[in-house]
Amino acid sequence: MEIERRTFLISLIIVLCLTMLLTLVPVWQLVIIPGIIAGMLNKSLKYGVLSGCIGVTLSWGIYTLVGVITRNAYTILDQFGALILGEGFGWLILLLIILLASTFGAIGGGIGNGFKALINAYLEKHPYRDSELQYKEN
Amino acid sequence: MRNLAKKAVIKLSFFIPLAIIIMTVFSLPLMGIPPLGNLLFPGNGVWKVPGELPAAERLNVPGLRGEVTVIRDDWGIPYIYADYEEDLFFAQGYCHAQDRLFQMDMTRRQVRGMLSEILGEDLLPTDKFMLAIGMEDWAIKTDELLKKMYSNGTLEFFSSFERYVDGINYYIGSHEDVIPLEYHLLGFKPTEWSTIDTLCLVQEMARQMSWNYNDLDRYTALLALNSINNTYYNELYGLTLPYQIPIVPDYGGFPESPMKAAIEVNPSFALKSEIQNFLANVQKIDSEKTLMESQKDQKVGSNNWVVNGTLSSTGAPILCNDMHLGWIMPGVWYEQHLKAEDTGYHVYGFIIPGMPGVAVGHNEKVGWGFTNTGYDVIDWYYYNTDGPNQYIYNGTSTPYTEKTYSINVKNQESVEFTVRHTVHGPVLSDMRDFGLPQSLGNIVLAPKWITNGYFFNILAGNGFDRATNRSDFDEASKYWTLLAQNIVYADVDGNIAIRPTGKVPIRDDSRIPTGHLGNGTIPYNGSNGEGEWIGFIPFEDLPNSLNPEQNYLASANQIVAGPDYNGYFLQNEYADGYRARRINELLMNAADGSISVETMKIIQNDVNSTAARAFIPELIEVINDYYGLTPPTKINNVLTELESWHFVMDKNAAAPTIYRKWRDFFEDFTFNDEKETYGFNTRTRIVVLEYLMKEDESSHWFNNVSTPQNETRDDIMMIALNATINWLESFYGSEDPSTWRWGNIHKVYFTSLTQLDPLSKGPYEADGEGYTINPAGVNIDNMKNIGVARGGASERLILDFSNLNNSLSVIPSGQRGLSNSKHYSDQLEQLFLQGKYHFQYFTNTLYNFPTSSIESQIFFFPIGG
Repeated sequence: MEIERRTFLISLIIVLCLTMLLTLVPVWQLVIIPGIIAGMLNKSLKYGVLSGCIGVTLSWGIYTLVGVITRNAYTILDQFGALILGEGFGWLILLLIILLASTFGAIGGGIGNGFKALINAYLEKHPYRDSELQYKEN
Repeated sequence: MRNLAKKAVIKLSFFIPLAIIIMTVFSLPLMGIPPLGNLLFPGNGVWKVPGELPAAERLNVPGLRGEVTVIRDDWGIPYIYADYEEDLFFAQGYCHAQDRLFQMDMTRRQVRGMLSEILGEDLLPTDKFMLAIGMEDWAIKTDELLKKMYSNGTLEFFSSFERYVDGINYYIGSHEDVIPLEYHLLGFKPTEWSTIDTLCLVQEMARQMSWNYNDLDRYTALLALNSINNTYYNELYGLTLPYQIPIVPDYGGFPESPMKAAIEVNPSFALKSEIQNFLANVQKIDSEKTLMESQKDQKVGSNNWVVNGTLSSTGAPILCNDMHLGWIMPGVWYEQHLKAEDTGYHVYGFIIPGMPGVAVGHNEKVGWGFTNTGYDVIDWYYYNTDGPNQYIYNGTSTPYTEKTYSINVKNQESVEFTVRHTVHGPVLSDMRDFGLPQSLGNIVLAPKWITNGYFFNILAGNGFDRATNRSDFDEASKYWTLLAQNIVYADVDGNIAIRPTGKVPIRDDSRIPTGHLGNGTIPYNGSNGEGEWIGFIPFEDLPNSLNPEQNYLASANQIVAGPDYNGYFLQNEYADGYRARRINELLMNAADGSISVETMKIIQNDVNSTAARAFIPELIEVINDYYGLTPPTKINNVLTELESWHFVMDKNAAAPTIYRKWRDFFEDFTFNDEKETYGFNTRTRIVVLEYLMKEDESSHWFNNVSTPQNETRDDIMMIALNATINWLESFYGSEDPSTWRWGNIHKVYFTSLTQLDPLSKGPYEADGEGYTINPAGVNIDNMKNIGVARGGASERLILDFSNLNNSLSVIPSGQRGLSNSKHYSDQLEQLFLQGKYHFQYFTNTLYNFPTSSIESQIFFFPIGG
């Protein structure tokens, strides 16, 4: 349990940093990757999804907060909200961004955990590969 | 094991499709909005929009000779100080791109037929039309000529011009990812700027000021009215308009009576129908519809005036200018201060972003301001065709010349189209279907327009910026070819002057038939060789005035010169003259030494309506005559409001509402019956209605031709009053006239370039009307509901030649075209709407600029510096 929690925290930090780094790449679809890594690092689906979700949300939350404070970004979100929904909906756009962060982080975590399970299943079916590797290393 | 794999597959088959669905949704454009994924996700889209400028920034730039410092004041206005002039222009270009890139980009795209490339095929008609009228072609030709002159060593300024363009491109190149919101919304990126793009902006201003269909409009009115009575046309549209006070006072004054002479004209109904079809169809093109509506609203106007040291309280001239244009966000004008140490170039003022230097403003010695002259610089010609490929010109079958253009269209193949030209200009009657040339019967139409020629305004502007006296200024004015302007002038030596300046064609009217009005008033028969342009009015022969006895000069788009100007024909169109009357009244009656900068602020914001003053006393008299001492209650309530009114178009007052609504009804009930019965739709002039009301109350125009009885002027005035009361009671839901606030019905709106409401400003309740010095002309048609003015003063400038630091200015937006910037609309909201101004730190240097007013600084260093 303790190990699982520690893994969760480590994966959270990795997701946070990786998501931050990926904001430098103008391909938003890549945001799924930190979640996948979180899912793969954690043993259980619950922790995988949670660390992806929290990590990406925290990362985008910090990014938006800095943007709003330093670059007057809320005005733009407000104007953008007004274009789609009407006056005074900037907060909803902000909320949408945060919700999407949670969703993509969580989905990434789910996929990553699925991959992990698939790999584990594969390794379980072919245990000799581990023995062979150990043999070669020795 | 199987269980483990099964679990994994279940997990993946749930999460992977979910991820694909959500990613797809956010990767596709929805309802015209680009993919939300690109727009909203951190590190992209709205997060890559330029923000406020840092307090200090250092830029190492290749190609600079020396250092440049840009100080931004409280309003974000750049004060640019450079060691070398070429670097000064580089920095100016950089600042323009930094603040107004999208605006510059869209304007050049409009002129160059490049809107479809970013907005799709809906904009093809506009692109085709813009290319067809030849603005880009002549920008390219002029650019080639300027470059040739530069390489010959006869045009030194061109190197500064090129450095200006370099500055724009340096900004674009160094900010490829951080671009204004509009680019993200429309999904394209800015491309490199060129000197041709800048010249295209000059062409666009010329189009806004001089492109029109007035000749065609007048012709349909002439034919319609002449079929009833051969004096009718002149009664409504004849020149000179009544009550005009000429801009240049040196050529006498006009009698009040307009011309009433008969016109004998042989109507050509084939031509009339061709013209009417053309006018109806050309409005299907967005740009033309907008232009026609704005001309109908009289948005294009302006005021400038100057008083000399005798009238001013300072003993030196004070010059004022406010140019009236469509209100957009960001505003038309960009304000800056430019100073170069090497040449002593030192100027402050306004420019269209995308152009170098200053267009309107002052240097250390002289200052100047513009209003549009209304010189007639476009003529329309009609020709008989001779088969599909030839037309008759001067009695001879002549082949069209052709030019083919290629237009890039978003998400589809580029489109090619061909424009046919006659000797005069492009055959625009082909454009009715926005497609390839086709046979349209026996008549084609083509305009000859001053803008289709070489133009040197950029050199004139450069000369204005460097002039040290009237003689220098005149010399520079000779290059002011397009965009004819009443250029008011003053200098630190106490001189004041005005010269309506620009290239004005001289026509050969020797071949026109009886009844043709000549002077490019109505279309010419090109097949008969009528109305050829045989030259241009020599600069020295243009009307002008220097230090007049009246101690002031004023222009507000009224007639340029009085009857003693016998030189040449100048204008077919000018303003009704109400603004000019008010300005002249205020300046003429001012005591010596009484006019200060404060007085000028009051005058520029004056909303006293001379039009109301002309109409309302007559209405009151008619009401009193009709009802004597006991008018009905409703009429009496209205009368009370009007009698206590001093003609100030105050948004909180009710009398302006009554006046304006009544005047609209009075005009409609006077002229609409004839318009509908005789079939013409040309705009009638309020000043003509005023003349008829005052001087010709038995005029036949007051009779409603669609009723059996004979209505008099008084009948129509009272019918209009009753209609007004009914309308206002219904609109305001109250029978109490004191509740009919003008501000409820009269608003101003500042439309974003994107036309998107969230990026626009307003509507705000507003004082004034189209005829007040501070104008806010509403669309008459919209007066059936709420009138929203979308044009007026596009800048205000007051120059004090006793102390240029005491000069004031303001624009109706903000300095920066970035909607997230505090300088997007700060001047509009904090100054312009309150009638306030900001100071100019003209004489401050880099070293004594008030620290408290420095908002940000950019330091440009040469690489290695």
